Amino acid sequence: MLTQVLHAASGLLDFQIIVLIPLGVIIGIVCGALPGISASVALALFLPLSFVLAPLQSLVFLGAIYMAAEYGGSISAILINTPGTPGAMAATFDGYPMAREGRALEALYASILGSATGGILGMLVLLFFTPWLARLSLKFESPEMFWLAMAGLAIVANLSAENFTKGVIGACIGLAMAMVGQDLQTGVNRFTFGIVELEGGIKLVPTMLGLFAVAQMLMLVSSKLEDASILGIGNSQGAFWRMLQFYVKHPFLILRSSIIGIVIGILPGAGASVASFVSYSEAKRYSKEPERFGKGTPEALFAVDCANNGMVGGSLVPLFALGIPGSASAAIMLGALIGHGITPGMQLFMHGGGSLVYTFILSLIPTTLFMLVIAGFGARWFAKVIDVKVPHLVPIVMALAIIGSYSSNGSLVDVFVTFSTGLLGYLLLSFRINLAPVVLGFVLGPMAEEGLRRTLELAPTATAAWATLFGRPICIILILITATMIISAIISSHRRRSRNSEGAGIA
Amino acid sequence: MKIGLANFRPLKIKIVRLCAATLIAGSVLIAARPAFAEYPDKPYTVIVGWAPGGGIDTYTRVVAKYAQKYLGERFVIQYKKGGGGRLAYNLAAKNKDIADGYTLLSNMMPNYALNSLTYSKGERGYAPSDFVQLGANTCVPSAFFVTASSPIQSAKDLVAYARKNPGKVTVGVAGARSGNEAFRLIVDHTLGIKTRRITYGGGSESLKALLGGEVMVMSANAIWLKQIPHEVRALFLASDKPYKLAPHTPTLTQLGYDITDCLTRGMAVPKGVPESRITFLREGLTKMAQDKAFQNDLEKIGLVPDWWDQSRVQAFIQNYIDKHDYVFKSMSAR
Repeated sequence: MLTQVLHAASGLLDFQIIVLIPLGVIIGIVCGALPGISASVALALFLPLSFVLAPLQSLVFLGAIYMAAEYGGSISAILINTPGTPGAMAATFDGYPMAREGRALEALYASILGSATGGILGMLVLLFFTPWLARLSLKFESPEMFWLAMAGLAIVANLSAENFTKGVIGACIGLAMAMVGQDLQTGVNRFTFGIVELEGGIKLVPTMLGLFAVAQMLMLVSSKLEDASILGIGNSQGAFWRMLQFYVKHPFLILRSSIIGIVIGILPGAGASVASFVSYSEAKRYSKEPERFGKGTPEALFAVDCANNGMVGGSLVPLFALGIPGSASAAIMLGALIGHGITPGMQLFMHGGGSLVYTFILSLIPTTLFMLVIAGFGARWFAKVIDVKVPHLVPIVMALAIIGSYSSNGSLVDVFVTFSTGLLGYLLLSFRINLAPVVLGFVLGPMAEEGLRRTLELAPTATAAWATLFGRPICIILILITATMIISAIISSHRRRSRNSEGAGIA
Repeated sequence: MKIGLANFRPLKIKIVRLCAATLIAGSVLIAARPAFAEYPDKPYTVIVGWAPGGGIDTYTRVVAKYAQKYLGERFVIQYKKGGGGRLAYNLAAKNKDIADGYTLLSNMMPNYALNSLTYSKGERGYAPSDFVQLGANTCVPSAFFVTASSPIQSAKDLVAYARKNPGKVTVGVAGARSGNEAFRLIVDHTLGIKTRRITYGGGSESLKALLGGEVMVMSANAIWLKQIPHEVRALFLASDKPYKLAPHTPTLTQLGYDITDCLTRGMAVPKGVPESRITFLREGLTKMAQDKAFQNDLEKIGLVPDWWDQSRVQAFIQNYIDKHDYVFKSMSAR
């Protein structure tokens, strides 16, 4: 593997890549810092554009955007108390108080140091864990694929949604969307309503643009955003060194937060916001001065940013190994893989292959380093981005979404898909239904369906079908995971309800 | 020295007239340009109804490499993947504007016929007569594959095993109405055995299932013998003479069965393209097929160059439809 990795590293010495990494990082930070444009929106917007590039270059470019956007979200969280990305929500708790104390620069440095560390550690896990998981994936046959999809949906419904019922509703909507198109086993058209273009199913790229870009913009337009006043960054001398000292003195905090981010990233669909909240509360629990949390402690910022950038590498592990995206943003990266005709799994590493994946993974090192440098020197300039007003932002993003959707396949039907999924996403968001389960349902639907139906095709008798579905070792593990997710969700909602009724009783 | 303008009057008029004449002539020339312009004067759009990187796509890319030289313009490849190629045919048949000789389709027989004729009348979509064949560069023999370590090592083993264990032989196919599935039905019919179809979304998925042991046999075409010769072995090929890229693999004719079956790699245009343009394209493709470098490039991707003109392609598919009534019946019943 070492020789392969070294060989892959030489792939980074490519003119296009050397240009694309800084470009992606800058785009990512700018988009991430803009409230309303999360990492997934940025990726959805640039995905169609990336198809003009070769597969490797396209992945490197999108990877840089993904990584940098997860960091960029913290800039606006710190300076205007509005998270630029959902993952930076927890950064507002302490980032903004710090900025109000005139320690904005310290907060920004804490944030970038955390992001860079999380990014690198996530990359290492991605590098060493993915081939192993991909090799394991060879043991996954049709029944295992079915249960894998089920477990993925159960995890995302449990972790990312406000409550389990809403998560399940979202997942079901995604599954229903995945039903459209020609039935693989019989060739019968399902829910195409005579529209020829739908015979191939609803396409991933236009759907992502709709659910993320269009729906987000509609949310922005309909919500009343107060005109945020940007706090001055101030000119605190030696802020960077103070933060670096802090960083060196708290290795466990850094390591724990990054690991939380990476592990949650690997779980399907649970993205940056889950990772950063869990990391925040764990940091508070283990802190020597938990009372400082919420009032402005760099500890909290390190916790949040290590986690949401660690999540990036983690979320790509199941994507490359199994074809299951670990976050909504990774689902868009899946769109890039599909668009370039790359099948995730062991095939990526077989026949002396793997150099594409390894080069991509290694590209996250220069990406992170460049992010560190540019954010370290340029934090105050990126803060200017936040000045962009919603009335300017929305039309630009909408136009990009329409162009992207049309150009992905040259079909007007795709533009309608973008609009309708945009409206759908807006409706769901207004009912406070998270979109991550929807996307995962949409992506995992075909996998679940094919897995189940092929299992039935393969089994000579009905008894044999039951036996393979419930008797194989990997299946049993996946069933247990699914069951745990469902049961824990039911228990916690029951607890919440009884706590609420208790509260009512006291009142 | 007094030079009045009046003295130059005739000259001035002449200049004005000259300018006017030039303008008129120019505009007439511009207006007339399309009539004089040589076809082709803009790039061709080539629709590929399968995934980028797949078998049809790699074939199309080889043709695209020689397009400028033999067809006068370059290829712009557009992917309309879906329904085992059906989506691309349906879209192209519906759009009357593209029957101008600038839109071509990468075509695969017999999927072309299966994708239309096995559907009930209301769902049929395009009809095979909606396209005009330009020719095919090769026809890749169909084959049954097993893993190198499979206990079934020959057609004889397969027949013996399948007769002893009816319904136990699982065969992976790429698509429920594909040429692979048709070949499975043909083999069942002719060898008098009963296998079970296991459907996959594409050739690489089907191959993964074979290598992973999920299915016993894979119905596919001979290309895999070139691409992964060590992992799989072919039980038999359905060509009438030994296949150049795998001379030692027995053919079904050698084994005493009257089966030949292959999948073409060719080009087609929508119905309605002017006859002169069709002739131009056919002549260009025929010349391209003779080019040694082109033939080499085809062999590199596992295709044995063997040019079929449109009448041979047409005869092939007509014969296929006439001869395999049971295939169409069986697929339509789903």
